[in-house]
Amino acid sequence: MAVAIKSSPSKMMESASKAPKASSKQFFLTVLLFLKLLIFVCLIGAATTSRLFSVIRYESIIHEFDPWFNYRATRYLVANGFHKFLNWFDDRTWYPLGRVTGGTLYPGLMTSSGFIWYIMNYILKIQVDIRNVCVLFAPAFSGITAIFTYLFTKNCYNDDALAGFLSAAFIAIAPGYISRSVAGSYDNEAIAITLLMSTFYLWIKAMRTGSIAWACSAAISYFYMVSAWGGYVFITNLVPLHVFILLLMGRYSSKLYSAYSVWYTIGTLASMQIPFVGFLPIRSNDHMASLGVFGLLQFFMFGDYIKSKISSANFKIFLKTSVISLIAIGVFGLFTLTYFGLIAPWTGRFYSLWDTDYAKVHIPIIASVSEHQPTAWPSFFFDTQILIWLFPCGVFLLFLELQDEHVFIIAYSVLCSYFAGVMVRLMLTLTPIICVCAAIALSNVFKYNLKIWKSVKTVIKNKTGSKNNNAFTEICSLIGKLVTVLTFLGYLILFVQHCTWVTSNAYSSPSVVILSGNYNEDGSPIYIDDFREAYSWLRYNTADDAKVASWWDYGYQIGGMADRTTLVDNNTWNNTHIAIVGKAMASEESISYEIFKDHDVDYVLIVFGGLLGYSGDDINKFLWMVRISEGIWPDEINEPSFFTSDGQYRVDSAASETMKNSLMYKMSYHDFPGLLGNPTQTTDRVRGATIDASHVPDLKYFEEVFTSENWLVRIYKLKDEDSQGRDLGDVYNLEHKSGKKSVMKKPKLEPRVD
Amino acid sequence: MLSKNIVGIALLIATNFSHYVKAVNIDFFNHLIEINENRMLIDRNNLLVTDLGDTEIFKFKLQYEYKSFANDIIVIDNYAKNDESKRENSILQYAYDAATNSIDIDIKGIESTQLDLDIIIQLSHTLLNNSNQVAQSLSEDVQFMYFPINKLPLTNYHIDKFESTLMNLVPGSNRKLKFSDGEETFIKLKEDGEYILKTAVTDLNANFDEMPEAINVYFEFSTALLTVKKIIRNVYLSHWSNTIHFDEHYIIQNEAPKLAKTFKRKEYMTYQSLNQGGTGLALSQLDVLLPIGSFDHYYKDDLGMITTMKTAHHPRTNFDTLALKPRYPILGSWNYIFNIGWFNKLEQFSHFLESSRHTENQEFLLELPVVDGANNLIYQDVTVNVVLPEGVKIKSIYAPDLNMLPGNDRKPKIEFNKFENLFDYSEDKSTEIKITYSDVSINSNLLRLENSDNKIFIKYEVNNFKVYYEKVLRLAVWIFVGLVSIYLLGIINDNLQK
Repeated sequence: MAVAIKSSPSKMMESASKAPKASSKQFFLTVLLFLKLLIFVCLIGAATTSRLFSVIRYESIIHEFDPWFNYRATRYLVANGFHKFLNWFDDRTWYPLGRVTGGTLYPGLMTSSGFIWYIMNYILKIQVDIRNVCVLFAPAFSGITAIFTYLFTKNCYNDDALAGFLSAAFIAIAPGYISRSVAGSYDNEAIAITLLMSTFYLWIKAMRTGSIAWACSAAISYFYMVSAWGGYVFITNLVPLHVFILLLMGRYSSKLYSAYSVWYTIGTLASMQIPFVGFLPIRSNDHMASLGVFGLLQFFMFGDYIKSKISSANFKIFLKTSVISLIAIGVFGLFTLTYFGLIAPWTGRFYSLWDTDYAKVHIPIIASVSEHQPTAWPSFFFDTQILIWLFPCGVFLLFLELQDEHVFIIAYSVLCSYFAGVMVRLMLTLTPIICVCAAIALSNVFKYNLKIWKSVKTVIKNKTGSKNNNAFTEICSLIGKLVTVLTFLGYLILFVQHCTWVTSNAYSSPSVVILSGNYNEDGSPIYIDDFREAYSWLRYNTADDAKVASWWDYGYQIGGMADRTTLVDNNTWNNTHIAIVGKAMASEESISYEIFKDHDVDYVLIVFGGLLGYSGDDINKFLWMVRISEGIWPDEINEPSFFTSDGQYRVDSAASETMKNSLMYKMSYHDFPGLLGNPTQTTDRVRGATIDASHVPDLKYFEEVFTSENWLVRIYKLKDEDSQGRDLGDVYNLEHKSGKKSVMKKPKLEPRVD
Repeated sequence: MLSKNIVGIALLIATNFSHYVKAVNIDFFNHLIEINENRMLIDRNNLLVTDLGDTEIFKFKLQYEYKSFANDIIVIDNYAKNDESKRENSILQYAYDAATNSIDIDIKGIESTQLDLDIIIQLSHTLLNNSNQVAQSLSEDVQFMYFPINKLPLTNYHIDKFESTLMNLVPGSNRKLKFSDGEETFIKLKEDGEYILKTAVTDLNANFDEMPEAINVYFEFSTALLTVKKIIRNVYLSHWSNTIHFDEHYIIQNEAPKLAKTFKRKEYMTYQSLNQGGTGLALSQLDVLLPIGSFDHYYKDDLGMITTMKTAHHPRTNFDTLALKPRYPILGSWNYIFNIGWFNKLEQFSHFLESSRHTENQEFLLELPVVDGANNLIYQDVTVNVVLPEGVKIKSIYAPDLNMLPGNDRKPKIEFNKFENLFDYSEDKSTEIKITYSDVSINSNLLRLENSDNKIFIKYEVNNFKVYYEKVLRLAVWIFVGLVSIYLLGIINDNLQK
């Protein structure tokens, strides 16, 4: 030290002057870090709390349909352990077939929440019910999504932290994502979007650095995604598409090679460990793109090596020959393997992505799902508000620079914009990239327009120097910047307001419970709780092994809430089985009775909204039941016969005879006429039709056992078979037409002839 | 079997012999059966017994099967009761003799040769049967119940005179009784529901081994018959917030007649409109009584919250009520399963024992009703789980014997379990006391009587350090160690990077 002082006094002076600078920089960095942490805390807080409207307005409850299955499966996992869960054969669904549930689900969601529950109860000793873990799962993960979106945007767009923060803020409260991640929305998407963003972030990181560690991380994240959601196929195709475009752009590099090769091999092998996925990555057409790109990359690597060894003229020949033969072998191989059944053909859902009418014609069960319908244009604005306008601006800005990672965002944007237009549920996958692109656009707006100090300084300097022309220009520029910034801040405030309103009013209803709009004397809201009323009746007042037939929409709810065996549910894996229920609902009572008896059904549950005005009832879904069953039994079920002669779908006096005699019609309107004053008529509030008692044939084979308070859910029991073996219809006629002389068929008495 | 016969023959000889020698005699036997609300039958027997001689055991023959139908029996010596100096000995001890279905009343210490006994028996609701097992429709909303009664009493001794009275005290009914033999045995005495034997029985010999003729007594009981098949009452004493949390799980069945056909909503709506919203024999609302000052109430079942709950405070009775509307009307044979819960201030139930003020550990006495519950319920299986704060030590427990019958197996069972609390890492876990009353028939209306023996007492000791500071310190140390570890790792990382 002493030597140093002696030898270089000037350095001492220099380091002494640097010391305060370094310390102030250190202080600045600390403040920056603190602010970043503060922003993250706020973002996580906003993401989580904005999703709690449903809990505040209603209660801590599992929502809608699919989440009830996930919740039931999680409870099974927690009660029986992981191995039993994976080997779970559920004989209480799809009766009498049952379902290999453990092998036909994506276990990521259940194992994650089970793991959290275990940690909380057994490690941290925080006693918490599994239901609450499931209910709050999606809001908790949305905070993590915001962080990964920040990292993804920052990595993709020139390490721009502002764009990162903006995208994180957008994804935290964007209704397009909130729609599937409010508290209680315990579905695969709750975790999938988090994993989607983490996988994309890690992929970009791996691609930029060429690091095997990052590529491995991306593969692990991909594996987690595969375990959680069937939509993993989107990643399986988007990443190869990115690589393929880069290859076409001539941007092959060893970094790209190592990133993709590691990601693909580890990710694919890992994904094959999920029982439901199994060998699909090497046998399904959905996965062939990633395999093809993997092969192509090997070819590029090999070509790169060859290029360094031979002359450019020879290389051109080599290249042409190789490319042509490669394409020929690839196409031929693909078709051959598909033809021989070694590669599974594309699924119906895949075709319906390209041809929106495909499902309606070929697979009505897919078309019958409301979330598979094409997106209405207002939905884009409803789900993303101002971001939908900023989205193309962001994409345009990326085109201007077109770095490797920008290509990824562009490919994602184009692909998802199309898919979201085709299927409304895919708005979910589009929302993150809208947030990212909008954030990039807005970041540029703010970056340019927030540089006002320079303009202010120039104005002041010019004023003193009396250069008025320049000062005027600067003032105009300054005002322009301020107006722009304030305008966009206003838009952002409106965006927050819109998101809060949409979340609160549109996406926070559990759908199991409905607000009536009326209030008690103490100001508390009155709820319409008919679904739970009926399910609790089933749960507490029917035999434990009772079988309940209903349209598949209610299968998961019946399993989860009523804990009774169902014929079909929302898994929709067996179209024929669903068609059987559809046929029973659409057939005449005697045929329905036979069908249900053959399937050991004890009760039939239907949803009827005619009294309450609930439009999502079974009569409104009825044509799908007809179409699906018609697909299997075209000779027995005929859709046009359910319409009037002029092609109308009516339920009043004009309804067709087939319609009136169908089980669904009879069950819906049984006892309905004469309910509200008029002794013979009641108006169906959904369809605005007057239902007269004379139009509703009596039920002869089924009897009402329960109808909920607002008639929303009606449960019927199959009558016991007649002890004398007579047809139940005849027995009914005999009992109810006693005034008329009944003709009994007497046995023929003939003289005995020996 | 042999011993039973021998005892029977011996008693027969003894009673026949009593005609010739001075033997125990019942001069007057006055029998009264009260039919009360909530399916409660009280069998009151007043006996004037003479010629006791040196008899040490007085055998009282029961009219109904002890194990199946007796909920509670009390024997009172009226002479002692009226004598100030002997009053504390007025309750006589007895043992059950299964061979003869009698109770052996211990009269050893009684010097007098005659006795004035009151034998009061609370009979189980299982003695009552519903005259209609099935209701044809909802409008069949008048329900009759009946129980058998012997025309002549069963007795081990000669009776000079026997009188019997039946009193129908069921509120809301017209207090009429009907009999399976018309009105040949009993006749109406008053309009207020009092019936007496048409003719008093005199000079009745011992007939304990006979099968007397029985008639059925019918009375109207047109309300839902609610039987709590199981109630689990969890009581949590808070560590920090000075509150006590009650959580009760009920499984109730309406034992009213089952509908012959099925439930039809339209028929139900029509019935309601014709009966001013009445629900007949179906349960449409249950009023649960809660301790005063209760707060944060909830009402739910396996499917989630039930939103049709109202709370009210009744200053006159000094109780809060929770009006619970089931999700659907509970018809005959239907089940009603739900959970309710609420909080109260801890000091309402846990009292500091002044005697421990100057000792190292403070002592408290927890005083809990077995159940608060609602009126007009019959409990068949009651479990009370009391979870004490982590670190407290139990000194003593008292659980009332709600079926105070000797020799039965329906005594409360007390068990101890370990209960893991929030951030509970200590080996000394919170203590859970489980008190179970199985296969019983507890009438909720009796439990609610003032000064009835229906409270659980738990004396526990609190070590302030263990209860209030140990866990906090442990958690604080862990957090501190965690932060220091992160700091040290940071330093190591910086050094490695240099």
